[in-house]
Amino acid sequence: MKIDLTRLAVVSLSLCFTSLSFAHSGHVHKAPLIACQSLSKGESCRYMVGKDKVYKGTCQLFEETLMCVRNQPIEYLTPLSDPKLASVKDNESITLQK
Amino acid sequence: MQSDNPRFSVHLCFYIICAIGISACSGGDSEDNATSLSDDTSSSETVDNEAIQTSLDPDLFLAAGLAESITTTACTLTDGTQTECFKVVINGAPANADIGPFCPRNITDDATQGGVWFDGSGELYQVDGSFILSLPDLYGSDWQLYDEATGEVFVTDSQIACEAAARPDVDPEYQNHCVECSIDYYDGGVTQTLLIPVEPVALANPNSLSADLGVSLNGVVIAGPAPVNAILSANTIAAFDDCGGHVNPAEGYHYHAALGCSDVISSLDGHANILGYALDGYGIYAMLNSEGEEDFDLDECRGHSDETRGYHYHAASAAENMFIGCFKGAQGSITVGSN
Repeated sequence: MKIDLTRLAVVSLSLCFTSLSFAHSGHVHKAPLIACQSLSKGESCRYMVGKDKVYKGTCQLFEETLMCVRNQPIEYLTPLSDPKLASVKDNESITLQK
Repeated sequence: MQSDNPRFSVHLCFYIICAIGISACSGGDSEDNATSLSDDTSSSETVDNEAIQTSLDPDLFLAAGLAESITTTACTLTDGTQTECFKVVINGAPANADIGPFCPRNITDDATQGGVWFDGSGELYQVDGSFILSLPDLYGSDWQLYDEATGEVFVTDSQIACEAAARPDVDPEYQNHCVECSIDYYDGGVTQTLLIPVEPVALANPNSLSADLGVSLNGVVIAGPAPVNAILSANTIAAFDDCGGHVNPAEGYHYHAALGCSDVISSLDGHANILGYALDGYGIYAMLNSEGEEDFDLDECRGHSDETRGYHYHAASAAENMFIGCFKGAQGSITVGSN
């Protein structure tokens, strides 16, 4: 019984540290997945990118995994003074110049 | 690279299980840059496919990306429809761009010596030396992709290494590596044949995407989202080149994102440029129009109709790790080889 309890403790601690490791090695890339965790395919979803961008769309299946697929233009929580700048910013974020 | 999708789902299951026990900690990282804001409002949009519908135009393809001229042949679509399809056979290498570079070799390398990385977070990273140095901050303290003594980046620089790192169960020897495979290992390109309906057949309910979803005008397979969770779980980066593509042993070079390399035809009416076709025959266009704006009326698949093109898709940004969200029409097929 004593051995079993020791094993249980070791296993529990291992799981805990494994979980903690994943928690802290996790990152923002899971946001589109987390956004659909409690939803079904086709339901509306949204998530934030950075502190000021909101992505809105619907949950879609990719290889049996639900992911939020944005289908509306990116919303900026902090309005830019010139709407044209928002478009420029979007362009810059996806256009690479090397 | 590791776009072989079983790992994606397996790791996702593992992640979800782990998430139960880590909810107290996981918020800290996520809230730095991205936060889930789920709501439960359902939405869908019907598509007017009774209007004019353009079909695949063989003349838009760059000939150098094709193994043979585009022809038509009988085919059966995923919904059982027997119809006529375009047969598009690609060489497996882009007609208008070199493949790579992917991984930098040293932490002092600049952006010209590496490609890009995106994990679906909405951020697009230049894979240069600085990025390699930033990985512990980005993904966790157990990330170490370079030799501290020399600054040399750990790269899978042989076919054996590439294939050991690209398999679903990454060889432990290649964890903490920047993974890349040279197209030279696969005879300069993997020939693939796509059958795409001449007349798209709209579905009442969209189909989920398969591993591959279409072909670009410069002759490259367009794939679904890269399985970044599976890739990251092995402390690896399967770097993309500046066109958003990389090489895996099964299907060679393929795109996971639109970064402009397939925009070979300029739209004359201000509409976004066409970059390729999905397996259901609908065109895939760039995200933004000539004014740098995105449409407001995209459906769940990221498509909509207009009077000139009929139904068509618009690619998402590269940082979202995807092109489109689902198939609005019944699909043809894609197979390796020139059968």
